[in-house]
Amino acid sequence: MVTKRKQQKKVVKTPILALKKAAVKKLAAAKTSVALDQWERDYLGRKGAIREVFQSLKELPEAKRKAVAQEANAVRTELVALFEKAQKKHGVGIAEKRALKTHTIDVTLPGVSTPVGHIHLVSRMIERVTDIFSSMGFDIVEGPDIESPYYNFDALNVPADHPSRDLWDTFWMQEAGEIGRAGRIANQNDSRRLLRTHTSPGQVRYMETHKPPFRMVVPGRTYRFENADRTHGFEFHQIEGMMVGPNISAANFKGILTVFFNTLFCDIQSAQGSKTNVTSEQIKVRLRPSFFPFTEPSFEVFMWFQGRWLEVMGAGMVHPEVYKHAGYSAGEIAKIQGFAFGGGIERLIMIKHQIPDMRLLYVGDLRVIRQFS
Amino acid sequence: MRFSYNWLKEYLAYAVSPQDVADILAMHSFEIETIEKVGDDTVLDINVLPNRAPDCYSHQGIAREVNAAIDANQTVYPFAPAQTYRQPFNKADSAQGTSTSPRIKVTIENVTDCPRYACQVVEQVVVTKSPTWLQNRLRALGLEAINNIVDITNYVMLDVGNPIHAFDLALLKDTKGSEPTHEGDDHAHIIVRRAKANEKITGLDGITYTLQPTHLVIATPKKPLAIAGIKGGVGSGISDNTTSIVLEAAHFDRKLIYTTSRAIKLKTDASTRFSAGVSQYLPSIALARAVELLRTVCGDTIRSLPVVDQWPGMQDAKTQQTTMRLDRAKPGKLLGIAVPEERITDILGALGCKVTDAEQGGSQALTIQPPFWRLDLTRDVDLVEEIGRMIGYEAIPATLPLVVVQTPEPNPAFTFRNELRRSLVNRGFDEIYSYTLVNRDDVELTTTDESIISRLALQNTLSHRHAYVRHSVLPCLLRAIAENQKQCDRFQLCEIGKIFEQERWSLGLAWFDSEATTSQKVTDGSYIHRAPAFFALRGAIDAMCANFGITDVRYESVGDKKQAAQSWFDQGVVAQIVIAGRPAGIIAQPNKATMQHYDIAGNAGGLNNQGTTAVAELDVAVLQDASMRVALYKEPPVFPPTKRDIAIEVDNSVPSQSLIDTMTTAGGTIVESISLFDYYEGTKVGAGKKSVAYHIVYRDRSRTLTDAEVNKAHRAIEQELRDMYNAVIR
Repeated sequence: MVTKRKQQKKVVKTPILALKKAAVKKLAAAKTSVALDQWERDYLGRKGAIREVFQSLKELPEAKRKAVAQEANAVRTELVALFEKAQKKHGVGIAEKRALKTHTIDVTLPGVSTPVGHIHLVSRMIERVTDIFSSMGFDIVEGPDIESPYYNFDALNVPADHPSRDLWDTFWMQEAGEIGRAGRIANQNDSRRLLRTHTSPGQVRYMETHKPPFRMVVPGRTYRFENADRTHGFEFHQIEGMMVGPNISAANFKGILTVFFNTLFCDIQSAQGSKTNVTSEQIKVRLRPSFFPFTEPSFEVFMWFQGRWLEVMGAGMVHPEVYKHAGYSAGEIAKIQGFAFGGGIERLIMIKHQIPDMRLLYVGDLRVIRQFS
Repeated sequence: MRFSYNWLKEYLAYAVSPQDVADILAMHSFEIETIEKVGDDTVLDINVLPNRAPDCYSHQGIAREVNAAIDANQTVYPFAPAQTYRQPFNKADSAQGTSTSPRIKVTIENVTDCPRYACQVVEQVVVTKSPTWLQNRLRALGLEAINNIVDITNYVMLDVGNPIHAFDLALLKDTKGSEPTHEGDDHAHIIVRRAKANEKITGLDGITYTLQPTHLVIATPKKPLAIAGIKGGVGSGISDNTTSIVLEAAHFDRKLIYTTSRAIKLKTDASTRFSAGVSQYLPSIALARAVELLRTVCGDTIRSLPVVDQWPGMQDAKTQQTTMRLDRAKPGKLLGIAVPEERITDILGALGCKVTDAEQGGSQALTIQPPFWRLDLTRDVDLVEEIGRMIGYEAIPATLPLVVVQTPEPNPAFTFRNELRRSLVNRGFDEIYSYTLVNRDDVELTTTDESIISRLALQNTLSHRHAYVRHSVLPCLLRAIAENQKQCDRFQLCEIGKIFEQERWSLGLAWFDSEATTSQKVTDGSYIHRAPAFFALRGAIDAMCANFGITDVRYESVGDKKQAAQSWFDQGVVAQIVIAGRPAGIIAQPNKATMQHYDIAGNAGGLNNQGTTAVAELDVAVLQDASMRVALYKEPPVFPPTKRDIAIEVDNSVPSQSLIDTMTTAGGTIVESISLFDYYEGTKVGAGKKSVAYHIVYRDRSRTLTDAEVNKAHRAIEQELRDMYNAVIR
């Protein structure tokens, strides 16, 4: 019995001391915070060696447990103390040592130069505008820059040989030719080509392949045969929009545009709010009578922005003739109504960024382009 | 168009100030450009909308708008009751007794050209200066006062909206004896006919116009008197000697006047009105107004003869006055506000429409007959606009539509361009926008094919600098480089824009670094320093492609035939970019001539300066097609690679890509990658030779390769290089 007891005692005692010996040795070898972390997990952690000793206590006879537990506790206390000492030496201490050395370089010297590019304001505005409409479920579609008179005028109910065509002074291509789809009621003997004067040809092109209800926008470049000045360009960009369904009304147009303008200009209001005192003021939309052959009624759209009314778009309720040109039947036309609008992208940019002359956007001057990031 | 407030006031039902008039019109009808005080009058410049020209290019028309807008229930009509004017004046019996001869006869050759021609002789007039009030009115509106007769014709046009003209009766009669004598041989004869080919007429402006059969004239049997609807002629005008006049109030075909006016480049107050269209009912009203004014101005001594009124188009005019049906619910539904029926009838009534219930028995529709002066009201939506603007669009609330949730249709091309732009900007490219319209030199930079160039040409141009649609974005980039190098030593540009003749999206890239070569020696043996901008730009293109998962990008030397055509680049520093086997574009260093043409790097030339600049153009659709849409997972290699280097000395003319292709094939499937790590040209190797060195990575994804296997592949590569390129393996 004595022998057996001695043996038993030895069996229990030996692992703890061996454990301690190994732990001390390993701790001495751990000289980085990573190694220290690992050591802590191995010996002091939740699944560490010391913990295992405590868990094995229940397998011992009642009488032995206390002594073994005391021994294990002593070892743990010792190891914790050693660990904290080592940690001071190698762990936290390293950061402190580094801190002492930072003064050896001048951190205020410039970094290695990395070129920074800038998205052009026109791209930025088109992206922003299409994002807003897209978030409201509008499709984004595009059309050709070189158009047929059919899509640019005839399909939009602009009568031939009518002074209203003067509203859209047009660049014509020297040579005639085929362009895209010919159109359902295309003017067969007019194969001339022109540079689209507005993005409105997108209306009929879209409707030829889509039935209501729908909502869509057409961003794109447009051309006018007129001399450029501060606010006019012979090339500029437009955003066309259209929403058609059984009950889409002028009130809905006001609603959509109010959301659109407030979203588009929300950042500028907070940026300049304190100066202009409009932070909390909602952008309002006002309609005035206008005339376009492809809308009836037609509106001129103004927005109340920073204390004044700004003319920003032309719009109206889609003219039934336009639906007809898109190939909708009389029965279909009777059941639908909707709005269409078109506005200048550069105009919105000039308002938002206070740019005095739209020609500045087309000269590729990096001193201008790099102002906007 | 300018309008006199004092004049309008004669017709206004309410006492309103000029500012009130402006505000009312702005809210309900037209934009006001300016309000200007002229003497004791106020002139409003009103932007009459094109569809309203027929009724609102007149003071009476504007007054009608204001009256209707103020109070839909209490409108006064500037015109006498409409029915008075629905009938033409009969030849003899309407004026001064049946016995009087009108002393004039009218022949209309083509009724389509001239649906109505009314005229009237007034005798015993005295030509003199107009009274001050009349002169002031005209001058305030920017017209010259000439004499009482001419001034009255202008006044009537501005008042009623129908242009009228006065001839000297004596000058209309052709020389005696030339007319066959019959009943009424003292009659002047007015003929409305097409001009003869190259027929000449000198207008009252002193300019001689050459007319064609597509133009319309007013003539006697002998001579043309006037360009119909546009300008009177010198030979028949009013002079101080005039005692008898012929007043003409006619209606001409709108398109005919419009095209004539454009063809002879003459736009007058009359042609503007006729081009926009006027009501056929107006000529007789205008004549009556003119005679009334003559009496006021010249006194009761004048003697007006019976009106001659040829109105062959009367039936057409009546049928054109369409009766429309308007669904009672339509205005409210389209506008998005409640519009009670009384409001509909009040508004339309105030505007001069006749509103009646449609068919019996609970029909939803109203029957609307518009007044004769409103040529623009032809369908129900036109009436909805009238109702909407008279209510005022302010009354329409902003209401979001109730719709079925629908996600937008994807537009991959549009999305790709946005991503492409971001990818480039993120690696330091500044985006520019240039005009699509360029000059001839710009076009010829990239094509000399006349059939293409002619299809790029514009018919009408503002300037020779913008006479063609662009064939490439490169000229635009070169111009931008020239502009920016003045302020900036180093920059990268990109432009995503359309090019033609086959319309498509193109990506243009430019790399400029003024210090690229001047600060480093070309002779250091590095290939990069031989064309720094070129290789920098190539690197950017590769990175951009990698960004989109495009790995199959090759740079091939350009064949001789193309070189001849595209001589804007340095013949030695140019490559065709091939992506996934498709030609995708070009990258090159512009040659000296191009640099000089676009004024890049001032007057300096030579290799050093060329090395500062490289440009590239890529087809966006090809990039998009090759871009990886959805990447599928591949297990990372678990077996170790074996790396071997190879150093080769070969002829300078052997492209690196060929060496890599050869090594890849010769080494077999275990070659994972080959990359250049050293390049040398110079004195240490023979003339016309270069030394290149590559890292070759061998790996098998399923097992660890043995040394023997790798050695075997490596030896095969060496052998193949010797065989194919006479290479020396070092």
